[in-house]
Amino acid sequence: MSATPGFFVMQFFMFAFPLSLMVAILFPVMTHALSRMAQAVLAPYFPPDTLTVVQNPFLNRTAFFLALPSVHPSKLFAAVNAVVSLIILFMLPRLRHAKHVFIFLVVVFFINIVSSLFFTFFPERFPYQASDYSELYIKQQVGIWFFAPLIMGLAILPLPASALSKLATLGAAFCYSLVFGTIRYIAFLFILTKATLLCMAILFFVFGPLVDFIYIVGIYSVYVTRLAKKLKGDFTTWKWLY
Amino acid sequence: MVVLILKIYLLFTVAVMVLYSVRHYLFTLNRLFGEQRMYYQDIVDSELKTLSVLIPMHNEEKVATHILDLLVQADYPADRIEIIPINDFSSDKTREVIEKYAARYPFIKPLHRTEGERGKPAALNAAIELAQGEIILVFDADYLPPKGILKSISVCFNDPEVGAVMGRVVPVNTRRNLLTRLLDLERTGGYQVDQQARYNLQLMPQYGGTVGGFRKREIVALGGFDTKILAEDTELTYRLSINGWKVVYANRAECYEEVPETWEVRARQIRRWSRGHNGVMFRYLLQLLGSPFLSLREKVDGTFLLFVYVVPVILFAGLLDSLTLFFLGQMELFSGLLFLIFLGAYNNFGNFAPFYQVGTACLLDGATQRILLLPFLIFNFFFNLWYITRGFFDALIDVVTWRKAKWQKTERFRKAGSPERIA
Repeated sequence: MSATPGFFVMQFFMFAFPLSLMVAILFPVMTHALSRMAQAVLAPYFPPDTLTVVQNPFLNRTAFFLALPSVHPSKLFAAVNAVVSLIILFMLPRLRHAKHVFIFLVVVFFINIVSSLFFTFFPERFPYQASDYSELYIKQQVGIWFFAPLIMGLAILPLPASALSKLATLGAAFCYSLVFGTIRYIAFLFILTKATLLCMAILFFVFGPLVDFIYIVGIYSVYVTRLAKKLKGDFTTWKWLY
Repeated sequence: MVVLILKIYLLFTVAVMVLYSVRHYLFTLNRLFGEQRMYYQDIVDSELKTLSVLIPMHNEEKVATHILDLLVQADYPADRIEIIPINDFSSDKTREVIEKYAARYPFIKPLHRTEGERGKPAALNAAIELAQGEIILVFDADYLPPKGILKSISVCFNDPEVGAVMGRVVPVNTRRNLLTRLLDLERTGGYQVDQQARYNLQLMPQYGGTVGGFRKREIVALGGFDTKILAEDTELTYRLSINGWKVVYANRAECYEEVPETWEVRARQIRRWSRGHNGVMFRYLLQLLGSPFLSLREKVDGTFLLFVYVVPVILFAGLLDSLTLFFLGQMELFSGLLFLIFLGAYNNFGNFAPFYQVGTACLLDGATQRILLLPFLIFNFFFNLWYITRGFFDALIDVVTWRKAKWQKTERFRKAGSPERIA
């Protein structure tokens, strides 16, 4: 049960590293599957032949993503959005007793204002279409899939628990990452194309990697809680305690 | 050119985040695999050091009786101890409470301050002048010291190399609300893993200004506390360390404190800490690097510790940088790396601990359910980013304009006459 540094290193190279290596090798296949899935789900909401899976070079290999039509917001819509966000921003300090929520909302509305002003004054200079965002998301998601097993592995593999339970947790976190990344991709593309490109920045910064980190920490916390209950009272685990 | 600078800065931000994550990860591994470096708890000394226990108080009528009740029951010979409650310009009934105790216990020697400089460092300086003990112990007024803590701390000073000792702080009002529970998690990670690992690895444990002590003669020789500095505890840590003294972390010397129960109070506290800590950073960085008494590893860790309240500022600028790059259409290369930014961001704020550090600390403490709250540390993400950054700029303005910071006491929440039960 007790972990040792050597055992930890061995487990890291047996469990976590192969998962990341798998992502590094198989990301063209994974992104292709993800794009096809998104295409199948979104197809009913678009005219025929407007959704296509395309590819671009990424890290000396190929990443696939879904190309799809964009809807640019009108200048009026962007301006109204900026004004409304600004008003809300000035009203937010009323949340005096929930400063943690207040600061988070300030960040959200600040990004929204910047984005709205961009579309109000320089709409032609906005550097992304929905397809560009789609590509950016895929590259970001590959990064998340690559780093998630490494971070999770570094966090749980040194703990004094059975190798099987650690492997199962790593696998669960990785599977969750795959499923969550897929669902979020489809949802984001739907929002951007059916609503407006205006919220692209918010989706990227607020609901991007930060959210991934929350579920990684969540899975870790559930695992450690169960382990803590199991170890409670077992002083032999920490030999230096007596 | 501008885009290139922005990209380089973003890479710099990622590098800083990763470096701090690695530092805390090494601490975590040390606690999981390394041996616990014992301090001095097994020493039984027939001749205990003489102690002066200082309790700075500014309008502390709600809590004054609790700490005094506990200190008069402390397991320490009455002829070797004096307790000096420092009534620092209180406008409530703190004076009356203290005087009531002084009348009953001859070893309680109150100091009432009504003129001169205000604030904790000035109050401590005034009390040190009066103190007769070889060793000065300091407790904030809201702390609830257990019976044996005075011995646990004072015994460390039998080692002539030890300049200061820091005990472990445990929140007593953890169950109040989400904020107090999150602060409890932070404290757990910060003490059980961070401080203990730094002590194990012979780096630089930090004297925290309360639940600890220092040698009177040496501090007087070094000029006492600097009243211009808000973080007098961090300042003392660095002043002692660069002059060759060791700071000891006594994990077993636990003391209970009241943590802020509202986000408003927490915001003021964290901003003040950031201002004070960064003030120390501006003043001591070069002295730290040039100290002939510190090893390379102590200097490296000391530098990391000095910059700990600069990291959120770097991150804040990094996030604005990435937003700019996004609207310039230059995020492609960095999209994958953003995850690493958030890894660091989630983890490295002030004395707050990364999730793996907190999880490990809870495991070592034998805690269970509270670990489930780890994902809620996300609430600290933008909150700390904002207030620590503001504190950094406060410190910067202090340095540039020679402005003197005013001491602000953290608001107390405990009701008079009803101390929290010590679990």
